[in-house]
Amino acid sequence: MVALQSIDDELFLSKVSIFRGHKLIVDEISFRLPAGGICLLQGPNGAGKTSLLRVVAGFLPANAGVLSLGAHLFNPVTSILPIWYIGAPFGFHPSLTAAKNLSQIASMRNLSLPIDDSFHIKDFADQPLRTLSSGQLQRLALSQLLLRKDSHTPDLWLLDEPNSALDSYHCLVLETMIEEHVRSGGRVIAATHQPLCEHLSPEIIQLEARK
Amino acid sequence: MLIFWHYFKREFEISISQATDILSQIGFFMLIMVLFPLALGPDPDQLKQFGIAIIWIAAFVSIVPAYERLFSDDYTHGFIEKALHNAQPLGCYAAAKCFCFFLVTTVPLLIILPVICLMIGINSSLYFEIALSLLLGMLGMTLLGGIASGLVLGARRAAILGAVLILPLSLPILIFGTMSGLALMESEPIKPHLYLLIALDLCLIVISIPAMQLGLKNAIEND
Repeated sequence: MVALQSIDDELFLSKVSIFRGHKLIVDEISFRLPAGGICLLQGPNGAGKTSLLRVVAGFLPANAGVLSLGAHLFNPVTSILPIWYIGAPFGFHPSLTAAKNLSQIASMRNLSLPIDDSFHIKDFADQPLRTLSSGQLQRLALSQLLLRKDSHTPDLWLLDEPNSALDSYHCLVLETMIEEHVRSGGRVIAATHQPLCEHLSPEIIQLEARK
Repeated sequence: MLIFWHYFKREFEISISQATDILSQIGFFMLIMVLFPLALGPDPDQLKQFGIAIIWIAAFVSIVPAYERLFSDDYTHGFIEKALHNAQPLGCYAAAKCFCFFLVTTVPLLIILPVICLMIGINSSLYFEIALSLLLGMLGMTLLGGIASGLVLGARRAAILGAVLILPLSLPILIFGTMSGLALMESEPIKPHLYLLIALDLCLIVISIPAMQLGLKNAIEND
């Protein structure tokens, strides 16, 4: 079944609802994300942006609704679509250095170093992770998206507040990176409070906070 | 297999960077071993009689608190979620983690075992048999610890809850382990006891990997 799935199919979230505890936080959200599409989740704190991203990442089960890729059910963990979820906590170990953490992620995902150092992680590569600032951590986390791979399968990027701690220069780097990714057929879903990639006219999903 | 090796390497690097954890666990083990002779009195025959049992209990008691940190660090740092996207089942990650944990906790124990044997008057010619049974016992304990640690991940007071879960389940390992030691002291064959320990370990290998996988998955979903 999986072999029949095409990587270029449309990712479709149909009437997805999420409960946390007994509280409904996302109510029947539907949207489509074709290859090369970008989608921004917006809304106040507690509106369920992160939860929705975590459902697409396969960390949380949706309480109702269907995720599909083309004509097939979309199971994020076994899907042919490679997924990168970049959101705090980033999955790094605080006692290892930044470079070590990154090289471990690369070897575990069968990707190769060195990366294109757009986020200037060389400045703090040899520092243990616990000594880094939140902006540096975010830069390191986003650098994972630059790890090189052999195949040209466009990934799905799930970014949770990707620019919340970045300085204005690195915000621009992030925007350029997203633009290149989208142009090469990749997909992006980002939860954000700040404007992101407005020139690409992303689809905006407005989530509401529920009382 | 390659990904198992990558996970193992990562664990090993983290363990080395946190060597104080291992040292404090060994220190705890030594302390228990020192306290028993002080409490029991200096009679060598009595020490010899209880020696093996004390070694096993001290090894168990010193290792149980450490199981809590088996998965909890990776859980709070978000690494388990990352491992979920690695196109390999989480069981592979859990198995590598347990294997590394077993090595870094048991090998130091075996290194100081000759000193312990000397301290409680056990003939040093029996060292290898005792070490072998302890090695098998600790492998089983680590797998049990992995199951419990995965199960209580994210729960409140996970450490004490994990200990309460592990200790009753570890009884067969304790019984066969100490019996092998007693057989050794009385110059009886210890092979049957070692075979039983191996059988227990094999069963636990089969059960623990899917159990840990389910535990970790459940912990992520409830995060």
